[in-house]
Amino acid sequence: METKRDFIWKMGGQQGQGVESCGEILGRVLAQEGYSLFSQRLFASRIKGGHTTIALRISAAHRVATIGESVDCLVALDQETIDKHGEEVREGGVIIADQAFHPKWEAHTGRIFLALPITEIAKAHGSIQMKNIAALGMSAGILGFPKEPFFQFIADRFGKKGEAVVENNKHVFIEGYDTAVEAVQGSDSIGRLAAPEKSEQLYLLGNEAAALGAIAAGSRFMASYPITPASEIMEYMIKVMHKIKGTVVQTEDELSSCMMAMGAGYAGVRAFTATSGPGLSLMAESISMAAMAEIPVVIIDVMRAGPSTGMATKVEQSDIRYAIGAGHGDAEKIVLAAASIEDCFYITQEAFNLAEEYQTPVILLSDLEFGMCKQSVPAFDAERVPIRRGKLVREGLPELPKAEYFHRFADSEDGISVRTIPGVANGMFLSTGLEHNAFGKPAEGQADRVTGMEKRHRKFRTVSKAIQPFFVNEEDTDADLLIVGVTSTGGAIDEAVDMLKDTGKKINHLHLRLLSPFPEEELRPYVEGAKKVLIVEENLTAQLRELFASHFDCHEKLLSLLQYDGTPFVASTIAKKAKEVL
Amino acid sequence: MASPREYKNRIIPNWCPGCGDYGIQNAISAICAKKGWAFEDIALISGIGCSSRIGGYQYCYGAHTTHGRSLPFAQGIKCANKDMHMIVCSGDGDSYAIGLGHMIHAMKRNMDITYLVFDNQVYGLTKGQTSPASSKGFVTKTTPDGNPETPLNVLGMAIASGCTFVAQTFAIDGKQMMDIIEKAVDHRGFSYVNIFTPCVSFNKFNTVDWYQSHLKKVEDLHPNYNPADMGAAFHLLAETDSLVTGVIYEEKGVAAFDQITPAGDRRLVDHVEKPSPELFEDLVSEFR
Ligand SMILES: Cc1ncc(C[n+]2csc(CCOP(=O)(O)OP(=O)(O)O)c2C)c(N)n1
Ligand code: SF4
Ligand SMILES: [Mg+2]
Repeated sequence: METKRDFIWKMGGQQGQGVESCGEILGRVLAQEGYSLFSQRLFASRIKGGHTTIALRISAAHRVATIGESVDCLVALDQETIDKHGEEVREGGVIIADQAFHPKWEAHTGRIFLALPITEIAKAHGSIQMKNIAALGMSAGILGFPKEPFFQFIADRFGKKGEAVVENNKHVFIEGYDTAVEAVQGSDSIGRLAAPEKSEQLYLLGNEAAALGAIAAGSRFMASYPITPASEIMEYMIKVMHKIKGTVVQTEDELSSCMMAMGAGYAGVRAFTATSGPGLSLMAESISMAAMAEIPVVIIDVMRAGPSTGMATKVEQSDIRYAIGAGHGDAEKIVLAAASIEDCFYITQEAFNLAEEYQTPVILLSDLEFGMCKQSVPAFDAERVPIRRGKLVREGLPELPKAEYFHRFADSEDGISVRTIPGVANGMFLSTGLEHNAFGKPAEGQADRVTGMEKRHRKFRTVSKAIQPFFVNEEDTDADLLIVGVTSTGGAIDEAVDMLKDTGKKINHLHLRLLSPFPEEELRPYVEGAKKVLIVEENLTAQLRELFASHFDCHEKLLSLLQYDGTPFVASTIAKKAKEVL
Repeated sequence: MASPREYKNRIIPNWCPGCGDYGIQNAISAICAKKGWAFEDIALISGIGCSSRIGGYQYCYGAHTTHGRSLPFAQGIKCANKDMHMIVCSGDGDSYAIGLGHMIHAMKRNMDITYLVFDNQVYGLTKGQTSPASSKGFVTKTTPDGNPETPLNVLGMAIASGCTFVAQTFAIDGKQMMDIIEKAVDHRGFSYVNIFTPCVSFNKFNTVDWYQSHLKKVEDLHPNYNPADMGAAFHLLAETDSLVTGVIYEEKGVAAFDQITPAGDRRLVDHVEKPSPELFEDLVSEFR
């Protein structure tokens, strides 16, 4: 029997048929067993009754960070799943369809098509609601996983509902399992995954990782307005708020969420908001004020396909240019980009540190693939990124002369001034979006203006030293090809690099974490050391390449690979392009 | 104990001589002094407009924010540090035009904040355009043939929005204004006061004389007026076309926002800290 590197399992049906929970249980159980997983939900923007799929990539050997390309096992609870996704099944793969809907399958050779009694098994041993458990059993059987871990999970999950429910679910699972095993008897086309080493891992959404990062950073205040694909961040925060004893406000709009987070940041807590493109647009005026008044705030932008409402449930990396430019005037800020779902946890903490150290708005870019996909990641170390608050002073200030203010905006060599917060004795100052003097009094004189502008600009000089500005696979700066990516393309790029091993060429992968201020000095050796640089991004106008081109003169070697159809890159697309340009 | 004067800073306001806003500044200063608040425990937050310049004139933590957004900013401060005395100052354009959405929701949210709207029924800072509070027929630069629209019924809207303290006063009547601002400050929950204030430069219609001849005091109209009676409040506004001063509506005992958030009694600003290892483990356990 063939031992495979990984499996891709997919299930489709109508929303409400338990597709999602089936994927969730399969993923959760396998993650606990130590498998490396990546899962992706796809759904229509419609709320009820729309077609929905969940896919799971399972590996015992290597960490998977994309959903991959060819399906090993497809489970169909409706005809639409077969029509839309049947072709994705690889040669030798299996399609299981519920007999109950009389599935039609245009006999394509090379795939095993099984119409099995999913609904019937559920009805016979429990109830029709347990269809997904029957399908789960079948999936586990086909993929050759042992039954026991699923029993434990079923007991935990349904224990509250009583012994009978647990037993029924178990029965349904076993029937499904055995039925599927029998149906494929004699065929070994699916293969087996070796059992992995058990390891400490978490299986979660990038949005959940970011929320946990905020908590690990000491944030206890969030103001936000729901938007796909960012809402889970607020929902998770609200869910755990009784444990962490803070406050989340669901505001009336994003104008308010940004300003409320800024008010809280000004007052000395670590405050944030999370949104997607349309919301970021509404925040622009506030971001400009935060830049002028030097107010720390963290804004997470989980990017989706634009412009405008665009495609709310599709991925894109098209807010790069806007995030860097957001806010009128010379509104400088820090723009970060999470490099992986795991990094969502760590970089969110960096974002809070930088916001306070540099007294500035920080926009942290994530994207829909991170936000709404689950991955198994190494268990988080909450102490790795310490809390750094910069020049914040809360006590012990010398007494202010009568009626005078603290010089909160005093010019300094690094451009960063000592910051106080409301409630601090002898620390009073005025905060304003108007140009101002050292204590915040509006000032329009040329000298104050120039001092203020240069001070606020100067402080950003050291940002690229305060955070690791990118991840790079090989330290060696020489390469035949440097592939550059941002946010969720990293998994596909790494796989592409893997596929290109037999070309014998030196191919490196660099993934950006700091976009603004642009880490030009740190990047230069890699850009100059590469014969060609392929910049991979999911947008039409090559926003990331434009950024490189505005800092490096070697325009002819800055190549672009773009995709803007709403789907994430797959490795083969990148590998193909790389071969073309090598 | 600091005197009212000491609650003003040394910056000379850029208001026109005769502007009603000076009177409001005096009243705010007097109340701060009467309460004996420490300077550093007061946050005075404003938006943008002539009126909102006050965010830079009081001796305390002052923030002069963006047009219409003082309330979200102030609510963030209150969430961070529940012990701050929060005064938010705004204008009729700042509140009832660009900031109206925030106003309604702040009222509904009921944080312990005092909200004072300096209502001159015109845009002062931008030199005389119509505002949502402008009287019908009022000629401004943007309504050269007279304002064709009816002003918003802001007090009625506030009551309908769940505001637990709704009052109106007049900047030239220092005594009543101080009395009402003090009641607003003492109110537990969100308190809102619309303060008519003459703009001597751009509103030649709603002059001091006009206000004096049109405004009635609630106690003169109804000696036994009960501000807890919502029906009576709406009736009063209808009967006077909202040209009435006094406490129009007050609902006591409604839980303020800080009483319902999981933060409870904690001042969040004192808890910028890593979660304990036990808490963090508890949080991640659902992902294992
Ligand atoms: C987003 C934005 N739009 C427009 C302006 C210009 N603006 C400044 S103040 C103001 C109107 C202020 O009127 P009001 O709130 O009644 O204050 P007043 O000056 O009358 O006290 C306007 C439109 C601005 N600052 N910001
Ligand atoms: S323009 Fe009107 S509101 Fe503004 S300062 Fe002058 S009088 Fe006061
Ligand atoms: Mg006005």
